[in-house]
Amino acid sequence: MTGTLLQGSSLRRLRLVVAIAVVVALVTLPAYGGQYTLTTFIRTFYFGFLALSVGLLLGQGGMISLTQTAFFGISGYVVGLLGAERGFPFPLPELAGLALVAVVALLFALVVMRTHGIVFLMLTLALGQICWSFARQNTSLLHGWAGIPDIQPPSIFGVDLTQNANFYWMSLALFSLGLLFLWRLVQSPFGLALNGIRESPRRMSALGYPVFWLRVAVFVIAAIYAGVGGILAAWSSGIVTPTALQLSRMIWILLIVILGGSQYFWGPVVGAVIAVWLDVIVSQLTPRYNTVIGIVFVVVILLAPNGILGVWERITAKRRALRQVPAAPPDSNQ
Amino acid sequence: MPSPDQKRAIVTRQVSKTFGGVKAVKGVDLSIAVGERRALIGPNGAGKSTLFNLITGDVPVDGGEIHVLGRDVTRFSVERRARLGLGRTYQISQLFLNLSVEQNLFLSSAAATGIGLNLLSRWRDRSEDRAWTRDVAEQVGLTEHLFRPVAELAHGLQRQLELGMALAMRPRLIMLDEPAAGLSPAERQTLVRLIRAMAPDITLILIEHDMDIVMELAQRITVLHRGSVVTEGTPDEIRRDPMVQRIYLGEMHV
Repeated sequence: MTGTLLQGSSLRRLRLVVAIAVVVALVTLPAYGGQYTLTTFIRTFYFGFLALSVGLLLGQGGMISLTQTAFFGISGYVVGLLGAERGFPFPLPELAGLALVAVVALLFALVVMRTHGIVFLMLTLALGQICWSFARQNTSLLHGWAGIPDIQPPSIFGVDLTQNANFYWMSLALFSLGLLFLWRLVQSPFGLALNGIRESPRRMSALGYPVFWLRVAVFVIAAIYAGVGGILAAWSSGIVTPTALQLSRMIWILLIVILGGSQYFWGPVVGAVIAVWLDVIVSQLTPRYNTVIGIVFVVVILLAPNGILGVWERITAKRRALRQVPAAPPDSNQ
Repeated sequence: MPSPDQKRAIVTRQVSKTFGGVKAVKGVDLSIAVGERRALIGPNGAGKSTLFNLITGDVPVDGGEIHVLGRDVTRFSVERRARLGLGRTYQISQLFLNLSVEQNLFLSSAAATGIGLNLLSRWRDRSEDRAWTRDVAEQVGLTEHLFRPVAELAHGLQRQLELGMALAMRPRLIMLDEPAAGLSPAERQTLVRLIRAMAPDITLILIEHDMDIVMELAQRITVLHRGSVVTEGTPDEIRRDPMVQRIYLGEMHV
């Protein structure tokens, strides 16, 4: 019995040590990582926000939305329009961007949240495509395919975010905050109610929950996550184009959430880290990197329908079971 | 003639519903007193489930009125009717399969107390709801399964949780849709015992094919046939009624 207890606590201690090591490694990254590594991590953070957005809806609420890249694009465009083109100072364009994201998300939610399943999927696809088409075809305001260039990250409290290291730290801090808020949200009664809607919306109605409004609320929250990612992306890349809203990117994000494990809190994060780095590494090796990455996705999803974290859980559960079986008999004798 | 006064849990007046040309429910008048234990019986296709769904709001009426606890709820959504204290169970379980028993009951409890707008509070810190959740779990015999995922529970335990879900929301009236479906004789006895132990002020409406359970639980029985009320009475009256025997009991070979 003392054996298993020790093992249990040592596992926990190991996990704590790994967590601290990861945090230290991430915080000190600018000291030893190159510019390219920093930029790739920044990409991970802004696509990570998009993945959290998709993961919140899918993992917690059981909804596959194909609109999320639209919110990523909307906030980016507002930052470009108001910041780069009209010279409004930080944080006005950014707040306006998030406000517009919230308003559009609310309007969209009022349309789609009475539907479920395939109808929901098709409606969110249509809404996402409307936003994308508008960005692509509007030349007077959004400049069509050319997009809006010359977007600069601001200085916040005297910290110059055009410095790559500063930008990295800011993104890391923002992403950590986003994770922390989400961590609390999924443990709140609201988070549990979302799980209830995922499992049985009919029962939730019969219990008296305002299912429609709960779904509307989580859609707006998820949209804001996508919007924050969009602002970081616009700042980091310096340009916003219709590519930000493209369906292929939406599918990519959906795949990385499933790759990581949509029902796990860390699933979207794990998926985003792996997918972004896979992109970087494979594209250095072969120009056909999209084919390779596609094959990786197919293989992982075939072999591990619950994603990488699902595999991890299966392995650790097996190990725990193996450890407990021989430990049981001496226990019962004592 | 029933009147929608405060002493009535459910009053329906000339309620009807047609599905694709078939009149599933035809001008049904019901009047169920607060605290009454009422069973709806009738052969398959009699309109029991449709009438049930009309009362809960799952299906909108074509005509007539429905009053719940003195309020006209004819145009109310499922959710608003639930908030008046109308609890129900489902013939085919509608449980949150990937959540624990405790989380299932908590969601039912918090439906009545409100989940609040604080997105950063923890559901685990809601000690009053959790205490009530444990009470209900004990009441329906699920205390030792509190932390297990519902998907792992045996069918009989899931039926007990169905009942627990309806009880945890602190209902004033409870509608049970074939609660014993698929249960073994021993499990049926457990379920009957649990239902009998329910607080006497909770009104109970029951659809059940098992006549032993109906006779044991119901104070009054309404017999439906082809969408209409054929007769209504105490279990003894219904058992003796020759027409009931002809249209229903005969078919069921009781």
